[in-house]
Amino acid sequence: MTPSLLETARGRFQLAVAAAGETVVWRFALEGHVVELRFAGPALVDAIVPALSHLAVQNQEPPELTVLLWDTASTGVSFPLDAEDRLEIPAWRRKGPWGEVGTSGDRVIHQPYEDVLGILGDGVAVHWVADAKALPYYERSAPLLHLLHWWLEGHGLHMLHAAAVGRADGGVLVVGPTGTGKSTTAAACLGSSILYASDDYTLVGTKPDLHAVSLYRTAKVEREHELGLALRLPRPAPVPGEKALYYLEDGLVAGFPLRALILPKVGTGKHPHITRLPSGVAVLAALAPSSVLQLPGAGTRVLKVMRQLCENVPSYVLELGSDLEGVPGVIEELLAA
Amino acid sequence: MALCPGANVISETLDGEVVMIDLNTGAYFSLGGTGGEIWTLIERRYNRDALISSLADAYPDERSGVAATVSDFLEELQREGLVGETDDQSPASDPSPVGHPGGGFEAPKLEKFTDMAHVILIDPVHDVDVERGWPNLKE
Repeated sequence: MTPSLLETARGRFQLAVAAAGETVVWRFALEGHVVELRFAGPALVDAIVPALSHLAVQNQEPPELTVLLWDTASTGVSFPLDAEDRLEIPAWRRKGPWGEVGTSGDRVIHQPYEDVLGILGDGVAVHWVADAKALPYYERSAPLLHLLHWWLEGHGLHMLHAAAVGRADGGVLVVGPTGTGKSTTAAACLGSSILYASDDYTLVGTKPDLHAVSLYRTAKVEREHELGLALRLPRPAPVPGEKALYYLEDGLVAGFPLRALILPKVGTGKHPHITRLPSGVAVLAALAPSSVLQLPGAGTRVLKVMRQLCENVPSYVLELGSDLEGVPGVIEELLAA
Repeated sequence: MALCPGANVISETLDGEVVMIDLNTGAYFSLGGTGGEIWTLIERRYNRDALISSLADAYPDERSGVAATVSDFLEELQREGLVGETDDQSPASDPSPVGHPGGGFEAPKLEKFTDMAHVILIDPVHDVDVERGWPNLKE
């Protein structure tokens, strides 16, 4: 019987471990669900762990998901398909989210531009990268995005394309396609009394109530000089041509009940201004396409969660002015009301 | 044959408005007016004639106009690939009566948006902006 792609990949991981001479093991947990990362050597550790390190746990319980990670550049062990074959794997981002590989039920995603390949099976996943050093900033800011999106959905946590800021007793989800002010709104709260959960991808759970959970402690900032962040926050040495990527140490919040949904838009005035919307339809229309189309494999289930959100949490438009420092105050007032 | 949502279409209804996404093309749509009522009947797998009759019966003062408008609207939905046909006529959801808001018939409206379509349609190797990565197109 021909081994499945996942079984073959696990065999290649063992070869990579032998080539690297060591396994680096690191664990994190989300709402009690423990994930263990097993790296073949250290090459990928710095690309994956920093964004997740606020979730680190030390327990020795058996993990619910084990992810096997290696890169070819540092180990010499390739993925069990050559480059041409990899391009034939369904590029779900282009062709729609449905499907499994063969009859195993395993899910596969290939990101041909980054040359990253992920497989999710039952309790085990594989994450292969051609060259850890060549991973672009957006992969380092949201590592294992698709594997975690698929796996966590089975545990009641749904990945949405949204930012989230607030405090432990309540916060807001900031929605909208790329470029509408989502990350800017979240970044404007850095260093303020409004804490930071995420700037691009947020987990949302529905039990016991609608709540946001922070997954990545990263902030990708385009207007860092306007925000004065370069003076306030440490970040790795900038890479030419890349958006500023910060790994946040302070001002993080693990999650919060959702009190408002915010649709930012770039305004022409100076001060930010917030207005209640009569219905959540506009928010649903902004949130649903970008989440469903960027995060393959969710479809109907995540759309239902979004409808539930927009039905039960009040929606607002936040008009961003030139004074971004005023944004936390507006959100503060909203949460206090 | 009964009508049904298109094979690659997912949708949700909120406050009577329907948000739909075509996973094949990346286009998304909103249905306004009585579009939400029509969509509910499509989800319940009404056949075309029964659906038109149901709406016409709900607005008896405007019966002929309603029938023509709904018929045209169904054709528009089918042209966009949002509606298919099936042999399976079992209801796909709660068979309670479709609510008809007070007042006269409000023509169904279909709005189409394609600003996210590139997420599905771009070639992730050749069309992507080198610096910003997927799903950003080259300038």
